[in-house]
Amino acid sequence: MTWLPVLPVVVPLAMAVFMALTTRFGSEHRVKGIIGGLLHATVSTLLFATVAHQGTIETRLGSFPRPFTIFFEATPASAGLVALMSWVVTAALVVATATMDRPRLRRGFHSIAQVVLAAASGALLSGDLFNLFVWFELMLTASFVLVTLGSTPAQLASGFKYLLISLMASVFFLCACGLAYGWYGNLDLAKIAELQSSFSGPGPNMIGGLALVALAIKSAMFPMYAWLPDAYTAPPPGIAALLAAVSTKVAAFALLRIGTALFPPAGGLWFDILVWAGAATTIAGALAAIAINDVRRRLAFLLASQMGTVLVAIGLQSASVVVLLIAHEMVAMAGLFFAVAALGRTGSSPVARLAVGGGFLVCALAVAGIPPTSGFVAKFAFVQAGLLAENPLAVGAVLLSSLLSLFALLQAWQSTAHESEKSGAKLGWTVPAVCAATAALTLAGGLLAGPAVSGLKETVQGEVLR
Amino acid sequence: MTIVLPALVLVLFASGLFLIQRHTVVKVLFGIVLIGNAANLLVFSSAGMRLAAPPILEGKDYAMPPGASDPVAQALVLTAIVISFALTVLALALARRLSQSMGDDDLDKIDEEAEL
Repeated sequence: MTWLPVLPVVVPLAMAVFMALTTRFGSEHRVKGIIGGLLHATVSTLLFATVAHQGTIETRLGSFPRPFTIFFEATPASAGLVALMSWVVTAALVVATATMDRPRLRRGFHSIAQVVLAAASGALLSGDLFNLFVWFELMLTASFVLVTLGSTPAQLASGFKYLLISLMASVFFLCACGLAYGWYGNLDLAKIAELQSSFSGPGPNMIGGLALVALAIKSAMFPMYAWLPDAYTAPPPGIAALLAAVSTKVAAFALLRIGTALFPPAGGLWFDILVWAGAATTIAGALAAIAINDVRRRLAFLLASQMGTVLVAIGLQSASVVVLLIAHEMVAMAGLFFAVAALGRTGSSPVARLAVGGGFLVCALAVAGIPPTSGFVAKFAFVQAGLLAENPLAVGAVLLSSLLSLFALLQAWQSTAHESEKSGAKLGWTVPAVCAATAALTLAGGLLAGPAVSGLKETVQGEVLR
Repeated sequence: MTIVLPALVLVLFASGLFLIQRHTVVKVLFGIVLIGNAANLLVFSSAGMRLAAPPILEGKDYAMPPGASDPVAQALVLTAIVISFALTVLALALARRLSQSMGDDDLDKIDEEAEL
């Protein structure tokens, strides 16, 4: 079964090529795109089931020895995140297909979305630093196309800014890779973790600092998150929902793995910087969200604020909490973006309106961390970890930002209630169904959390924090 | 050689940083290209610069010949060059589309117009 970790990368790439090859004038690939998402979801769920059962699977492409090969490593944490991301992205594909205009679908939305899916899976599953960089670049390249798809002036301007800042971040990441190879003679994250005690000197701080700047930009850390609101507001909401579930989350997971590989578990400056920058992000994002009237921009700032919580958890070196938070945010924020995609066109049926509104409310409660949603479980685990690490200030900052987020979301709830009355376009049953399903998943995450969390603590703490 | 490469990296980085603070789209892109090349050189030099035998793996155990140069750094930089090339092309296409649709190539003005 060693080929299994490759499938979440190969299947969507093949799907993207297949769609590109079968394009005729006016093809929208609605069905093929969603089938591609479902295929990826099936494959990655299979991978997660296998990994959860048997433990970590390592794949060396071509069976070359380690430094010369493309190396995949499916741990329970990474495979689980790939599986969850895959279902969320599939839901986003359904929403995007239902709400997006035809010209954008005809310009190849679905095949580019498959590339994003493949590259994000690759970045999550990659076992070495340079492959991580390559998958990350591929993911960003595809997401530039998604942000600018349709070429409206706002999209082009924000897409260009996103491109420039991401290119700068990539340069820093590439330098970190180069220095890591020069310092350790190795790019394998597991190997670097083994070697860390036998090297002393400025190496880890240099490499870690460069990687921190690069991934801080990509995971929207304050004050480097200015690109995010524009890039997630200019494109149609379906695309924003897809991107929100992918790129910042992958960056945060990469940050966790690089930090634990480079630095000893005793902590240090690198982790302290993450704690305080994360706390600043979560407060600044929530405050900005309150100050802004536009619902989608407000969601984008809340996304940054949520990422701040993840960054604090990385700084507290609590791997299981990081994974829990990323998983919860992926679903809850996507649910909010789905509901917003349905806004302004909540058509005739009261059931559909209830599903969209209820979905928004449940996901809003989840983002604020109120029981019985997944947000409560994640925040609870976070507070526990923060108090264990004796860092009450950081915990207080995150709890304050939760309150502010709740306020921002309830305000948004009120303003959107008015907006949905002046509806124009009709809405089918698909988007409300997706909203309801996402809300149900969030609720299930809260209600059935016990066994999941204890399983996570057993496996993740061992696997990520070697 | 040990001085030349770091100095080159420094000069490329500095001129790139200078260029990306300009207003014109094309100058900013040139800055990005220079910085990208500086990073590529940095990766290339991570294996050390010296005269060495070609790294051809032979036999079943893929043993490296004695005194061979490090092939991994070269493979890395090759990949990085391809990626930065692709991204540069994408950025150029985007920049062209941007300045066409705005009728301007000043980034600050483009920002103001896009807000309207």
